[in-house]
Amino acid sequence: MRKNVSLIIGIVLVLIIIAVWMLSFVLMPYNPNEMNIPNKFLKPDFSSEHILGTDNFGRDILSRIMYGSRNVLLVGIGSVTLGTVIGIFLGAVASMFKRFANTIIMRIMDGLMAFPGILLAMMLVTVVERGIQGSIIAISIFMVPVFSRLVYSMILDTEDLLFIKAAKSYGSSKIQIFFRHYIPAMLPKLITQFSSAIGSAVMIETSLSFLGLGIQPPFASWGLMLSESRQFFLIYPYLAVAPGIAIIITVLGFNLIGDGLNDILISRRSQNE
Amino acid sequence: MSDTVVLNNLHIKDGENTLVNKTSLIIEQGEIFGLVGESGSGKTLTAKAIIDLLPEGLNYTADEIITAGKNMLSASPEAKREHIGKNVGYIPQNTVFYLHPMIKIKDQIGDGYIYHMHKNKKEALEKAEALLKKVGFENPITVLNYYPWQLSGGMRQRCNIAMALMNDPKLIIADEPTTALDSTVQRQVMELFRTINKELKISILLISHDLGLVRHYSHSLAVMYAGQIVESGYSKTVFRNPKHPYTRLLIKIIPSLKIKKSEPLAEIPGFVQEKGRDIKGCLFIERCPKAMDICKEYVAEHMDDMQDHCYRCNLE
Amino acid sequence: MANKAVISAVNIRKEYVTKKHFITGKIKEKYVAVKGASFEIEEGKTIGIVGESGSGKSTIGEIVGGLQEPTYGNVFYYGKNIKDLSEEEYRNYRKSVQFIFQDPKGSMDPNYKISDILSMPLLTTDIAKNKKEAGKIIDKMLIRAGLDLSIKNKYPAEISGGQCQRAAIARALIVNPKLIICDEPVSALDVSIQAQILNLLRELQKELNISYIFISHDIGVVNYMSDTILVMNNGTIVESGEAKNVLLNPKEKYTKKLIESAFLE
Repeated sequence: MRKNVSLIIGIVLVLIIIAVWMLSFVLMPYNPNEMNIPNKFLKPDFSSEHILGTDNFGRDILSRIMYGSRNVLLVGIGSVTLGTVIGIFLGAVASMFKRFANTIIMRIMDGLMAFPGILLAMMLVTVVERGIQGSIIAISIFMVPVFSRLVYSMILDTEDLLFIKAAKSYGSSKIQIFFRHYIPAMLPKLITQFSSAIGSAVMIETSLSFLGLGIQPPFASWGLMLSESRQFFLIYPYLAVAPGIAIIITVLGFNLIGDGLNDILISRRSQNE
Repeated sequence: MSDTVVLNNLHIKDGENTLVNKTSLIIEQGEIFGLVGESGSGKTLTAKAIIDLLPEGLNYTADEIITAGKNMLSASPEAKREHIGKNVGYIPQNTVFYLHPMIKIKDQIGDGYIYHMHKNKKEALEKAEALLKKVGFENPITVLNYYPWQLSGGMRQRCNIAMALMNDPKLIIADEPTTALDSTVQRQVMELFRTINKELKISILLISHDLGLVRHYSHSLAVMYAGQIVESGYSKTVFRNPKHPYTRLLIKIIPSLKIKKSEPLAEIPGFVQEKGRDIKGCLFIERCPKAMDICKEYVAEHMDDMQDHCYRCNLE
Repeated sequence: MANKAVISAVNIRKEYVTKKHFITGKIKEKYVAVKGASFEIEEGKTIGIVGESGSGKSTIGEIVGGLQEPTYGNVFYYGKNIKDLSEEEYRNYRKSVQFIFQDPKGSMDPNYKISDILSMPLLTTDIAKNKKEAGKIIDKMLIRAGLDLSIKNKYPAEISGGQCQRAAIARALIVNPKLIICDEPVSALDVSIQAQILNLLRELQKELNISYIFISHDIGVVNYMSDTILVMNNGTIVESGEAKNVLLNPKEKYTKKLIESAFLE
């Protein structure tokens, strides 16, 4: 059995971020928003009180990274979950009404997908308010087409399978069949897509924060930290390193899990034939 | 008259598990050879070993594998591939999976021909047209322009046969060619095989679980059970005097008009075992109506003088 | 003494629309799968429907079993038109008519174990209130179908085709049906296993007085299983009668062709 390297590395990376997230509730060394101007621009020093240093306002970078993980995970997982639920609903509805209704729904989805994620998110954020809620809503709207199309095509695939006919033959209702048979059949692909989507969501969130459209200062967000570090980059490059690495670990981790799961799916399917 | 296939002592293992055990057979030139057995008997694996198509992960050994005149054990992978491509046609069980669903027949039927025989597309299409006519299509040009999904199962199978004939092969391997088809179409396809064999003198390895079919269409046959050939010989000889209890049971269950509806059908209780095939005794012992104590330890191998009827059984 | 007719089909006709005007919905092209079939099935008897692929035989089976509606014509369950049945009567009718399909593994959801697959009809039709109650009935049925109870915890992919079909038979029987529609139940199985399954079906019929609609392209198998035979070609019943007579004295050319292909002697 070939070892699934992507999956293992992905899980490790994501576990690191989750550990950081959990620690942010118990072990955060400083208040991430507390300014301490006399101590600004302290370089990272593992022996000092500020392990990762301080930023231009004297705020502890490690604490800000830890605090930032909360937002990132909230927005990342929250928006994808919201998008998935709505997507499943829309995909199921579209598959039930052949011809007209499904065409309309699917074409709207196609339209939404034509926009690059970040552009769509930017447009939506100007309509909704900025901040965490706005980010979640905007990104979830971006996720809906992906999941609705996936669910729609999976439902169409599953419909023709013989065991669905068998389930109808002993009297199962449509709802029973959907939850008992369609959902388990769709779950593997959904989970895989879910994981990859979180990676994208985190990417978009940090981009939004970077542009000032997401989480607003003085709250800590990795994208914001990157953005704020721009002015000082030539003198104090370390300001960009911590948030940058945090972002990379998170996005890479979720994407690798998605890839790894996809590999398992593909090898399972080829085994069955 | 050289033989088309010589297989001696083939042994296929999947890790620790033996799948095919001490299997030998000879396919004479110009004959139809039937390889009969239930699912899991190893017949497909044996055929694949002859043409170097075994799936990865399986180890195999043999004393001799000579296919269409070439020693398969000593040849390089490229030489093997070229030889098989030119000399062997393979017709699969499932008519659907063998043809690319998104390509018209005319754009795929000539692939092997163009590649192995170094011909161009025009020549390939001419030959394809002639062969499609030979396999019974009245309008070969129409068929060439179809996609596989526009054809019925029987029609697809006939396309597969035409495709297999493109390179004028010496051997055709037909793996359960009629299983997925209606009985009327089965008849059509089998008659086609018979015609090809007679007119073009091509040897055919016919793999099937249906002894009735094999009896009617083959010159020689071998009956496989759980990875081993338990009886083999010229079809007429074996049917006149079947020696192995398994063969006898298979003959009994061949459907005929004379079946009495008031009686249950003759059946072979139980099912083929997947594991534990390495034992010294007889593998059929659990299902054999005539099993004896000695069958647990030892199985006698009989071969008559003319080598046209062999069987492995302790019964006389 | 005439047995009661479990199912009567009168002038069943099934049309599929293949081309419709996009806006007006007017039908431009249609395909007729069944052209007007009528027959009756008595309790404890088997009616065989034989024909090639595309003859409409499976469609008739699905219409009788309530999986499809006829475009024209009526199906009667114990004398009552199924369109006129009350909700409870209709549920009863659907419970009394069960199916066995050609692809044993395909007819079972690969994500569930055999025990779960068999408990679903019991829970859906309220015969069993929970999994524990269902479990006892399942054990009995599996043994009746000739399976070892160890199969309960296996997935369909882990067992052989023959075992799967036995499990499918157990599933069909588990709700005490009056009629089982067998659509090519042995075509995908090895010849040596076919006999086992056919014998099992016959035993069960004797024991439980179940009726069968036995659908196949193989007239030999249909003949063995059936009391009466319907020969279908292109949606029409071209010949019908007692199985023995149809086989030994076929009147239609098409019937003769089917007989010739089934028996190679």
